[in-house]
Amino acid sequence: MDFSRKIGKTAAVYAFILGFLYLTIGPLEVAGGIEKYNIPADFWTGLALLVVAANYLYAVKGLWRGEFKGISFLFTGFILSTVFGFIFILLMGADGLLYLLGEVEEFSPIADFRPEIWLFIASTPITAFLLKIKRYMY
Amino acid sequence: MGEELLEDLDVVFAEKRYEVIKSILSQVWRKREVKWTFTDLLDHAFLHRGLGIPIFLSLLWAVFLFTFNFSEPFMVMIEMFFSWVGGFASGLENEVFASFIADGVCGGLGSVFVFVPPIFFLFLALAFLEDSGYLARAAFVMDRVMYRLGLHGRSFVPMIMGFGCNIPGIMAARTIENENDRLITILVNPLMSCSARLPVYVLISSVIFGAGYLAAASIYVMYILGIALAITMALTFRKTIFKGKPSPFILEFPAYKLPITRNVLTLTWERAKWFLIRAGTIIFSVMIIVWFLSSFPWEATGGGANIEASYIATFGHLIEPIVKPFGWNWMAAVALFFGFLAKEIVVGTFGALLGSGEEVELVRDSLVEAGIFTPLTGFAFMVFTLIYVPCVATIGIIARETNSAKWTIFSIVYLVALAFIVAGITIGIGRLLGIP
Repeated sequence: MDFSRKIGKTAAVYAFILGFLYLTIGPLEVAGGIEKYNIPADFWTGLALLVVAANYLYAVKGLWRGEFKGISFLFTGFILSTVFGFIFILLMGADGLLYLLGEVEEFSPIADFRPEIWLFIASTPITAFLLKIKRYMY
Repeated sequence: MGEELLEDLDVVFAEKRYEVIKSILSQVWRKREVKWTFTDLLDHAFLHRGLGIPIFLSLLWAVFLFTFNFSEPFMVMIEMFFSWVGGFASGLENEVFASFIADGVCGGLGSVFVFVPPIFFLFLALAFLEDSGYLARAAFVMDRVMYRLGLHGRSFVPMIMGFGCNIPGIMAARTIENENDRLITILVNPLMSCSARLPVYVLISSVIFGAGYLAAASIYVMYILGIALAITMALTFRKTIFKGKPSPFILEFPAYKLPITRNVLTLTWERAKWFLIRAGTIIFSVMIIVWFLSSFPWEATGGGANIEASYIATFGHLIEPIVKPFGWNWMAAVALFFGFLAKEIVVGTFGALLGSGEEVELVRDSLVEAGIFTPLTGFAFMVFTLIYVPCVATIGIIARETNSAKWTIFSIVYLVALAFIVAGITIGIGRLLGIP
């Protein structure tokens, strides 16, 4: 055991929930999306979400046991979800700019609010966990 | 034999160095508990046997999303600027001079400068990854695959640089000591999709798939196809011309750090300025030639309005039979011909030939209207652009770095042959699947 098992177990449950969400949304994007739920058809991003899911799910076992290798995958999963979340927030801004330039007739922030953004927001509590773990590291 | 001994010596020295470090550490430092550093944490996942490569590919996809979709409004702004200047120039009294400024200068430069934002963002993202320390890990992760496929681990950096421009990529192969490894890296480097091909992909993908993620996905496929072909050709060369195993790869990782803005911007500028220099020199000159050939004889073409009566159409019809089997017309043949000088010229040439000027959207609309490409033939055109001869400057560098006319001619011949084969296979498979 490398750090407090209590913290690890809480993080493991959270990583499992996030992994499950990414594992659900990713294949839906690969398979063509669901317009009703604002899940777009995006093959490659869907595959990338599966990689994020794999990282979070890989983290569960190690976190449950209080091992550093669990944090490793949790951290990488969080980095990936941040990268994709930020990119789609930037793309939302780009769409807004195109609207202001008169290139597109309408701009809907709700339509641009893709799962990658809310999944990233849902992942942010991980930072609190990473800060708690910091004291166990060099 | 001598080179092999030198490489073995490198391995021996590295191993001995770490042995000495380990023995000193064991005397002066006692490990009480196992604590991980920030770098250990990240390396455990980034270098993971199963997840390392998927993580790398996901980050590469993120780079492409950022590069191509975020740059769109900035491209529109540049288009608006050149459109405004072109509109102002077309009001000049002298018709030939007005056409020269509006269609030749603004049209030619505008159609190339519009791609500054995606190229800048691509280099910005790569510089960010490099300065963070991740790119060296990516080299290590890919080495496992590259070694099995006949490429040296050190080939990864020249290959990644090839994404920006094949010239520094080929020059970076100097770091590879083994002559066979170096030659293989040089020969396959042009298959890495350089930034000059990007404008062609952006244009053609938007013609055949419209705007959106499908277009970005088709561009991503081009980059992946380039990597796959480079690996395939390296393996082929290794098994036929350069027999033997790649030499071992030794790499010391830098520690991870938050990228420093100044470093990232300097790296980006150092690489992106190549594009601006090329745009201002060779591309500009060629665009003037294309404007002349497509507008003259002035009376017969009506100032470029009737392109079929121009010099360029005569030349295009002459070379059209070469590309006819792929379903492309003489305009595509001419665009590819001038693309040999610099790949970005393909876009400008289409603009000049279709009389659509500098706005990429207008070039795209004209291409859609002219019906030059179907989804299948357009995709095959992208594949052909990816593979066929690199630009004339890259050929010059290959000649200089290999110091051999034989390898220079070989690189041209094999790339042209490969382009015909792969584009042909693309068309064949597409037709079998019933893709229009």
